[in-house]
Amino acid sequence: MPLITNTDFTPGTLVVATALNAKFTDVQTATTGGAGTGLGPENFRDESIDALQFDMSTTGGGDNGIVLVATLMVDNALGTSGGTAYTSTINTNLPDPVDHGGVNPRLTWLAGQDLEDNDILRVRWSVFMESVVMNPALYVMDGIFNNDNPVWLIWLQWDITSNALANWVEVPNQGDLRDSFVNAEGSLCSECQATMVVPHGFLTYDGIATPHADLANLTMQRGWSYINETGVTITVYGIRMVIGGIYHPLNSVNTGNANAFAKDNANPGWSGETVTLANARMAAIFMRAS
Amino acid sequence: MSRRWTRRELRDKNLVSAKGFNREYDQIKGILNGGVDRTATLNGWATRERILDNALHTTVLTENVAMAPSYLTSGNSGFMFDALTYDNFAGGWLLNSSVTTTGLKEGMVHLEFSCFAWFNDALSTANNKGVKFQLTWNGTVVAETGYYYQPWPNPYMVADFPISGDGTLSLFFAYPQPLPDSDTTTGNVAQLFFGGGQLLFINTVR
Repeated sequence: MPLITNTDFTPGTLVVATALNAKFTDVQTATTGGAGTGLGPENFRDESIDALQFDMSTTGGGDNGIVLVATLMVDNALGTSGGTAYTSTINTNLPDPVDHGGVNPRLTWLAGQDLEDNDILRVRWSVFMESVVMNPALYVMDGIFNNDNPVWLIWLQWDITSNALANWVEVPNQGDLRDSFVNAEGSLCSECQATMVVPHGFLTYDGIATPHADLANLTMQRGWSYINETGVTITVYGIRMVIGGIYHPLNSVNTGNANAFAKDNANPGWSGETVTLANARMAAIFMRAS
Repeated sequence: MSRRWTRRELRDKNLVSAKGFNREYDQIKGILNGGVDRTATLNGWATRERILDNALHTTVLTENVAMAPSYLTSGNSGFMFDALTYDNFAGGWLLNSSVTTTGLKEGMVHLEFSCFAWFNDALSTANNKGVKFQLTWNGTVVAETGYYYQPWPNPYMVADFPISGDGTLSLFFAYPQPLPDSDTTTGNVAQLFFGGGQLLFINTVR
């Protein structure tokens, strides 16, 4: 307890060096930093801390570490046209990085950005879908079969190994869409917390004409957050989007568990569909969680 | 001015009396024992390590927010999701889930909600289908989306509002019912599911 509790000299007492030194030793003890010593809450009066007392040194972005630790944004500088086409693949292929438009829309930290214990990482991203090319002979938007309700998925990966950026893995609470189900592979919906859905076509049904049409000019946005409660610091070197398709829903009867996204293992119709993405943006905020 | 370090200096060449010493020393002791304030401390000394956790803000992250299991019907719709059907949707806003907080302080809240969703837009030209979401704090609407009409939307809501302390945050959704003539044969077919959601709640202290 850093309060000074010694008593006054009795008036009339001869003040000797030893007793005097003991008084000042008490002050030294109360104010010297270390385990159990040093000024603490008992020493400060109410409203004793003002804005001036906070360490406001920053790197220019308001990130003094008291609440905000770091921020970073990226934009691939495309508008609503001139995008890159991605082609659907069979299930054995890895997803494609969303890596288009000349400016790589991924977040990177050359020296790594620490996500300390009890820090939170917040990532927000948006994508402009320029167009899809859909084969209506293969898909229906409202059907009940295993090639119906087609959707592209864009999800997040990060590299927490080095700035070589050669070890991308899915962010926490995000699956890699390669878990095995019966005649299919994908991920449970509960493991798709960093997944953005992109519809592969839409329904325009008048009861007579062809009901399914290509979709175009759609903006999508998504957010994902993660609090580091591992007890150790995670150093993040990069965050990127990846795209895979074409997926469809699976329910608990099909998965034996719960709802999931999946690619069918043996359906050649999954290959060759395309989606074109133009503008892509991503922003990350590192901050203290409390 | 909050401090007064010197009451009356001891005069040079005088013998130090107990009373005189006490007068000076008590000033120092009185300041250090609960009287230190911003006029007596350096600028910029308060770094993160010197601030108690939750003194400035508190973050609550709810992961894996999805349609409540009580709304899901399975096995009627081929490979479609376990989902809400017309048979178990009676109209209006449906309460999906609630969170009652503890330990929050008077101040502001920053709220974000993000998820993916799917709905069955069959016969939508006849029924004008769409889905929308709503967040309430102690029963007051703090955020609401418009209708999403595309079959695979990414619902997203952000809100900032003042609070006086703890309360209850609730998530609602609504999905228009079909016209009876069109959908009498599809009452038990999957219509709506949402999942992969997260609810971020940041309370900044006043």
